[in-house]
Amino acid sequence: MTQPFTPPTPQQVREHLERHPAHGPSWTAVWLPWVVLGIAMMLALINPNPLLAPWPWALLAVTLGYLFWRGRRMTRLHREVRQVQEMAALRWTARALRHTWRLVPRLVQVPPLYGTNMAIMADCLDRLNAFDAAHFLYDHLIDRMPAQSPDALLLRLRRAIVQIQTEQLLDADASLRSLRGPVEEAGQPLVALYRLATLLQQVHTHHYDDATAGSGRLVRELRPLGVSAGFGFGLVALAYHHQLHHGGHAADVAHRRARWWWASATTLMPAAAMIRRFPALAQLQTEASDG
Amino acid sequence: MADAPASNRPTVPPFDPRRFERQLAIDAAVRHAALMVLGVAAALAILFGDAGLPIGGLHLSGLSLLILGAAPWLLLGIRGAQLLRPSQEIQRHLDQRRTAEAEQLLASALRRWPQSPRSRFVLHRQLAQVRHQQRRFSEAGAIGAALLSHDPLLRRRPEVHGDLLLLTVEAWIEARQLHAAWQGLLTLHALPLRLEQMLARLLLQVQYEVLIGADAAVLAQWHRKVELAELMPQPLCGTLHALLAVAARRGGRDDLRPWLEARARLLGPRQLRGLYRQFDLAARTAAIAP
Repeated sequence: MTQPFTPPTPQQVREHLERHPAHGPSWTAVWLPWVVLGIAMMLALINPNPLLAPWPWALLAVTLGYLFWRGRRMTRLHREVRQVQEMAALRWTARALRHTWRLVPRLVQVPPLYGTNMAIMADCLDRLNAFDAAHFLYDHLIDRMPAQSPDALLLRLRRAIVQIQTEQLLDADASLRSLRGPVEEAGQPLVALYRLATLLQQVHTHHYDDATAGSGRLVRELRPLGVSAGFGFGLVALAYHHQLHHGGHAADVAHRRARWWWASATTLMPAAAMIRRFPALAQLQTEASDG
Repeated sequence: MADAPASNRPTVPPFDPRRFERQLAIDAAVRHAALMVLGVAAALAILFGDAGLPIGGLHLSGLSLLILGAAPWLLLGIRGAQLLRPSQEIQRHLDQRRTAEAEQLLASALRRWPQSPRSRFVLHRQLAQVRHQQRRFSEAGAIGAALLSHDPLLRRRPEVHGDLLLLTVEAWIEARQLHAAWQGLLTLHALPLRLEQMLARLLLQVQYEVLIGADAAVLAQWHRKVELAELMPQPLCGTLHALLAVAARRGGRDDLRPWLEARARLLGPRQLRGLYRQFDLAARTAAIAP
């Protein structure tokens, strides 16, 4: 009988990474072929007819064979990481996570691929709502990247979203404040993701007026996120929905807008997927099905 | 140093397939000549290795013969590698859509001689990208076709083959060379492609089918196409939704059309407006932009 899939805990992720830390290629892997080639050259130089001497050729063949094998191995690892990336893109999240987990020990000698694999793993954990494990991995990756690179900015934004969802609101607020300038410099789609993160923060901290302010520009602002803009539309619908009950707006206007935004959100994404990610949106679905 | 004014920047002359073939033939001849020199030197080294070969006043040992014979081959290899170096900078410019700077570097790189077939291939592939970005689609298509006709340069690199064919098919579609585009799409279906290449192929195929009015083919398995569109970057995702909406409208699929139009309005209103205008559907549509 197969066991149901459960994502790893932060402790399990930490232990896995501690068992298999990235350390780059070994000294012998880098220098041995050159040493052997040097010996082959020396043997050729001291021989009056190098083309007929067997030893330089034998050493050259061994070195070339080794380099060929190493090249093939690197190509295979690149291909496997790319396949995992494609699995994650196709939203086969649990399967992609399993593969990234198994790939870790084989990538310790190739730090760039190791980092890419970790980033995919973090993304999968995030999508499976394993927020604590994802947070741990985001920290792990961000600490090892140049702070202002677009990849680091993306990971810092995702970490801020995870922090909001795990109620680490002070940390999230500090992260978002520090990210504002660099994200504006980096341009799209980070600006759109930043807008989504602030919207989530406003809804999470019950600042519904702030969340609905400027909603006229929201479709344009979130468009670079593609269908994921649906999350933002759902959140602004929720903000209008709360205004309806708190009396912040004229009730019928708020009601109409909440319905319009929820309809736009569900045009882009299935309601179930949005609710799985942001359970508070369930009340909008209940209200929509009640008519 | 200040940049040269745009009008004074060197540019690459219009692509001439016959000149390209001639250049490739000369490159190959130079390469073969260097290889022959190496072969002759190796044979002489084996024959006269121990005694050495007297040439003029010199007495050349086997090793000296080998080094002298390998020199042209090595120099050609070094030269080819040198020419591949600017291609990295050119690619950076192309990725940032700085087409004029890329063309300027290409103009000087393509003037150099001798070149290896590989460096000439890489530089011309980038020239096709330049022309594509400049919307000179007929020329981009012609360059792509010339490169694709050289199988040996592509056989070992299916990924490069896929990228080049995608670019060429897109150029053919934009230049309305639809028969060539159809053949290119057939070849693309036979190639092993990465996920992102498969998504690009799907978009090109739908574009082609919309252009020839094959609306039923566009809407076949529409659900799967929408799922794949969701994996594309937003502008392409918007374009694919707009194309599906055009097919639904022309094909009278009123069960699908409102939903596809609503998604296209949210994901790519500009593309939807453009396509409806192109296919003369705008007059029958209410305001499309939200």
